[in-house]
Amino acid sequence: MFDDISSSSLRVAAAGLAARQSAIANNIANIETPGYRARKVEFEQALHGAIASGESPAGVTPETLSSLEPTRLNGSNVNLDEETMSHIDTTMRYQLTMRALDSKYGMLRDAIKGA
Amino acid sequence: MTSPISAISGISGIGGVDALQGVQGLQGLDGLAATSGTGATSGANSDFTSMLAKGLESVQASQTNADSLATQVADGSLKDPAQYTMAATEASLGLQLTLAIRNKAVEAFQEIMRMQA
Amino acid sequence: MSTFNAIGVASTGVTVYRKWLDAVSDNIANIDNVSRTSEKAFQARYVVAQEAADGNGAQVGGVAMGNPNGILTYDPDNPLADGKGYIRRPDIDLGGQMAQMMMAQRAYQANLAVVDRAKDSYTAAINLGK
Repeated sequence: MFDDISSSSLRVAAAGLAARQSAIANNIANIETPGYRARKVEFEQALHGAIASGESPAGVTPETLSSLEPTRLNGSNVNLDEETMSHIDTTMRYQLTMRALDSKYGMLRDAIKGA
Repeated sequence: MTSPISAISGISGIGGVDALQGVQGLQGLDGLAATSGTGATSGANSDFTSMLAKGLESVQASQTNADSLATQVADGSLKDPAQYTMAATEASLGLQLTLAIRNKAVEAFQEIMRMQA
Repeated sequence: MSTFNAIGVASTGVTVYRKWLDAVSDNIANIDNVSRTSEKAFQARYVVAQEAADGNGAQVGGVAMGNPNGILTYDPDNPLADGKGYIRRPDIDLGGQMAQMMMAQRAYQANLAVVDRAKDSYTAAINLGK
């Protein structure tokens, strides 16, 4: 009942976006740390691929990669503007994902109560 | 009176009715109560069941649409977030309306059965 | 960032104007960077902005370098002076760079304001029907 494509995708997205939030927080905290490589979380491509090829999205796990961007003068390669924008985007997508899950659970609850 | 019973049994758990047509459907049920014969009311009765069947399809369709947009929300390919929230709201309201109409129809049927006794 | 398109586009603008500000501050920092006549003078950096390749926002198309000859200045006391007492100063006008800095900063803030308002609109869309 809870493992249709949209529910599993939303669960994967929620986990991925939460991982991205903490990666961004880490990056911003280490913006002046020499030798620090920014962390990026990827899951959208894998999720899209799984859905397109018909497999269950539940198997997709978010992965954390190191950014290969050039470093700045202080040895860290964190780009503050990019991290800030990514944070805004991640926060809003997380809200939308939660709204989607809430809506699905709500409809099920209505059907149960209505009976 | 077999006609009202078949109408009620036609309403399954997740059935849906187009808003205006649903109200007219209920009025049709009042018409059933007023008449005593079985054949004379079959016209209004079959309209009600077919309206419910169409409504069921439309709620199913709106839920499927909301689900596919939710999948696009998850993998980040949705172009306009409002499309998803509108589809989800429509699906949810459609379901609630359906359940409300089905409950009213069941109440009306029970009212009629009480009158018979 | 395709779901919240306005935010993605404004963020490309933020990147471009940030790079512009970086270039201007670098130019101003090097305004007294003299060099010998045998070498090139410090060249000012100019960021070239263009529309993004996919049509969404802006990108930095390239960097143009300023005048390599600089301004020949007579300063025989300078340790870098050549036999005739000349050095090269960078051909950078402080007033012009300050004006550019104000424009870049204004553009940067304008793009951030777009992000802010777009965030409000999208939040309203997310909370629709609640």
